[in-house]
Amino acid sequence: MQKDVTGILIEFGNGSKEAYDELFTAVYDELREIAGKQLQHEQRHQTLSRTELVHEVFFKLVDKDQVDWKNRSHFFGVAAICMKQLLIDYARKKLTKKRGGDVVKQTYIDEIIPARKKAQQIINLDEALQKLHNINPRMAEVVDYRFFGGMTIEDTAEVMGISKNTVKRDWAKARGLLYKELQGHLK
Amino acid sequence: MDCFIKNCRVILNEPNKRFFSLYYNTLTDVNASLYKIKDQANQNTMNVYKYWQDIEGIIDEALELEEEAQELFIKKSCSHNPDLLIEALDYYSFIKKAEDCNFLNPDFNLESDLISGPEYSADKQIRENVIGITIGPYKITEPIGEGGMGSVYLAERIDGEFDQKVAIKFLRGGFFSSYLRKRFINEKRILARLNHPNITRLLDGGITDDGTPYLTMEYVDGLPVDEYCKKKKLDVTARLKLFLQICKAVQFAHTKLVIHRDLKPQNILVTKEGQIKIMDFGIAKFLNPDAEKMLPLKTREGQFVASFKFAAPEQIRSEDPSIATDVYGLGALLYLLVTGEHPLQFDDHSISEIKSIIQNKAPVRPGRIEKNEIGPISRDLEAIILKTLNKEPEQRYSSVELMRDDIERYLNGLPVNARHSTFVYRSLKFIQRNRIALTVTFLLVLGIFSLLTYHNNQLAKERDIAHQEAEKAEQISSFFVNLFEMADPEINQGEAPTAAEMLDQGIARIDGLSGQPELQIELLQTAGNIYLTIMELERAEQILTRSYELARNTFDNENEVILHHLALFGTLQRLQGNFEEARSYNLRALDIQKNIFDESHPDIACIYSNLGLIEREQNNYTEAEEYYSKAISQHNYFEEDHHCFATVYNNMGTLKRHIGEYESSEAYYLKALEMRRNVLDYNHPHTANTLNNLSILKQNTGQYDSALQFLHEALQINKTILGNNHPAVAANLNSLGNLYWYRDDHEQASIHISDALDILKTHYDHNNTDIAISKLNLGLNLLELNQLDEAERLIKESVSIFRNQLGERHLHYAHALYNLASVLQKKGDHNQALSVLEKCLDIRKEKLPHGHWHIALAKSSIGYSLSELGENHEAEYYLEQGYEVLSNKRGDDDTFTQTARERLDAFHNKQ
Repeated sequence: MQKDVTGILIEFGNGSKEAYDELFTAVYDELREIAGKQLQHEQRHQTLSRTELVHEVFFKLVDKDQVDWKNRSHFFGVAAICMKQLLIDYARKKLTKKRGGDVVKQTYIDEIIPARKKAQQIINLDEALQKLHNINPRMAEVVDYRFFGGMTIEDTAEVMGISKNTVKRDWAKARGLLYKELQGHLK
Repeated sequence: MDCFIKNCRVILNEPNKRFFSLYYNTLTDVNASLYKIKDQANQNTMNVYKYWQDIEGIIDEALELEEEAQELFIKKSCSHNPDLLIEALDYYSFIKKAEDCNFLNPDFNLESDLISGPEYSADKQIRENVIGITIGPYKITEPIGEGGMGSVYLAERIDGEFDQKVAIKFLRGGFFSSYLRKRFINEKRILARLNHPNITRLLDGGITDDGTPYLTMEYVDGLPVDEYCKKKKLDVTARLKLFLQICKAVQFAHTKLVIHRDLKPQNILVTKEGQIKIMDFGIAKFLNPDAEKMLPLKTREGQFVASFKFAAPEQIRSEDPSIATDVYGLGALLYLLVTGEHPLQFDDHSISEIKSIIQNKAPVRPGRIEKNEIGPISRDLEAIILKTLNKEPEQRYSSVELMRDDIERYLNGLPVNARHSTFVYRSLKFIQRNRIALTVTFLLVLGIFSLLTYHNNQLAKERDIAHQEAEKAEQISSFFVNLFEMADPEINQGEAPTAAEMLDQGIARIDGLSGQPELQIELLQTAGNIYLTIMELERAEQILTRSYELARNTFDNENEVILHHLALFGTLQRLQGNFEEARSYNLRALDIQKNIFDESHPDIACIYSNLGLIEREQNNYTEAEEYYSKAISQHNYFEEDHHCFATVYNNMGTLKRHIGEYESSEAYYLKALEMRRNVLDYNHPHTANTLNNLSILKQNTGQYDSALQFLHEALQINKTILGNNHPAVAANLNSLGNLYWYRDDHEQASIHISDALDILKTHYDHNNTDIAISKLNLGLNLLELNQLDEAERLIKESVSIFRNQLGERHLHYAHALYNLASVLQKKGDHNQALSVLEKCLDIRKEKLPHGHWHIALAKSSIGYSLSELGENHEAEYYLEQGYEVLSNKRGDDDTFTQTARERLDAFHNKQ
């Protein structure tokens, strides 16, 4: 399994479109699996942040000796989008659940979205991002990678094919707009 | 969808990078459609500004500027349109707000919010003017500064009872529930008990009426430790001693179960008297209301980063800090103190980037930092520092005391625990202190140590596959345990084996590792290299051929291992005098080298050095120098000492010596010597070689005392490594003999040469020319000591050996004859002497150019004997001829000329 994803990742780096779909599926599945795992009792203290989750998946799926820094960035870019997808799905699920109800076992992702309030925040953010996307898709994209994926400025720049300064600026501007937008929401 | 298609077309024209975005856009648009269906009530647009296009442009430019200049720039750019200005400033303010509270903080954990938004801003500034207010018995007089955690003020006792100055620190930030207030007071009691001269006393603490916690502590007037060290220009040792003080204090706190959690220079002051004062023990946890575990959560980037520079990885992960956390902090501090730099650099990174760096990036080895003005960092000290900075808490020192112990060991020259306490390293130190034949063991160790280290690291990193690797490491370990046992005189009953013996034993064991070809190759290759070094060429060839075959079978491509073999074969061929083969091996190695590595690899220096040597041995000095220069330029690039570079410097030195550039030669030799002493162990054949070279150089320039010193050193080393009976030792002894001859110390000369002779006799048969030379030299010395019979015997023997081995027309034979004549003359047997001298003159006239001073010598000697026999007429002729040429060729001050003069004078006096 490991070899496959590594190969797919390299193919994707070389420009294969089919590779992207395969890669996305593999990463999404893996991410969902890890995030959905039941927390062992001892592991309660070891909550993984989103970035760490992504790194876990990377470690599991990819033979890191065979890929270079650019492949790695691509991977994280895909993972960022998967992560966003996961979070939004999960948040939606959480919001539609009845209050009370069955005791849901704590999972990793519950640690990330521990409360309804948080879930709502995710959804709000997502909506705001949609709107941002309509004004300036590049800014929205930067947010996806930086926030959902926890990617560095460097990796983001690599994946998007723009300069680091552009990423920095977009990030600053995007945050400003989103802050303004969400502020209205929160009040 | 229109939007999407347009994007799509643009993107398809660009190279691979944009692929990503293409698919990203697809996904987002799918998402967008979902939303459209679900939520039609929502407006799909943001409340954006009317002048969005303009604003974006202005903001873009503004963001490129320094923070202070941004607002001004915006104002200027919008001065023509007040509405535009309002909107631009509005947007700018939101951008700043988002930044200040770290909006959309990508990495969050259980304790913090998903989106730390406007309502959760953690920055509550204390804006009240506190000067003049009273807290307990103290009145606040002036602000001292902004600490990392709050404002600090100076306060004096109001009741005037003591002239006591204290510092009052207000802790800002965080919410303080009543639960936490209780905890704070409890902790305060614990902290107040930290009574230690190097810890700032906590005097009191409490919570003001408006809920701000404060701490009263002794006022310390001092500099942060790093500034203090800089100001006092302390060297590494002095800094270490200061650091030990710090360790003691931290250790003390640990015994009271208090962990500092935030050790940084700003918290460690040094008074004028040089006393350490550590502050803010255990305070850090009071700043985050939700978790006691986290670091101060600051929103001002500057302060954030400062704390992070000393933060341990587990602190970033919000794990419980422990003693190991403080050990890490101390390590980071030590790193800073001895190198002047922080172990990890982050200035322009986001929080998540910083966290990633702390958890994943390894600090640069302290010894490798350029321009370290404080001093050089030895490997042992490096090891200590790096151990404390290990990302895994369990891998660090488990207590500050152990760390202190190691530092003290380091300061006393003892082995430190930090260096992979594998027995390999320990054995190394043991052997060094016990002076056994350590070179072989060291060479083997050197070759395999890297393997072991590699394996150990792999074990630490990889989670799976460990078993296999562990086995390998085990095998290597036991291999060496056995080898070392052999070297241990206790076990050996005092007879230290020679290098060759140990190797032979080692080889036998390598055969036993047949299941691990890679390992075998590595070990065999190393053994072959050692044989080469100690000049056991046949053995070397055997072993290397074996390992080469094994390598060819095991590896598919030409890799590093094959490369090393080729280089070794090249050396072998050169030592055997097969220059063409040697060259072709080396050139092949060079080719492969360039394919595998880029040009800046030290091994390339070795190959160039070999090629240079080949040229030099064929007297092609220019070509040789070219090769050496290439290798040297690599050293300038590489800047790291490596045995290959040392070899080049050594060889360049010899080259310069041969062409007579003595000063330059010395410089190169000394550099080579220094490097060899650093990189190799002291008792290494290469080091002996350089010392020998230096000795010869000094002889050439007439500095006999220096020459003697170097030679003695070389001899010592060779004896230790090779044993007392090795031809190389004999060569050294012979050289020593010559040196003593020049200093007219014939006794010493005789001793050494006869020792050399003894050795040579055990290796070669009696007809060997080296033996003949030794005999001759010994004979001459004995002659000076008037042991005429012995001298005669020895010289006669050498005469006959030369005649047998070299024929009757060889100059060595002539030389021996000349000296035989000297003995005979001294004994008074001038007739014999004359017949011997005639033969000598005959040969010399034939072999040497006309007018050569050796011919003159012979003539003068003939003249002398003739004069003694009363053949005055002929005697005069020969004596005068001899003297004239000698005077011309050697000058009047020369000893030979003077002897000839004396003889001539004596003759004239007799008339």
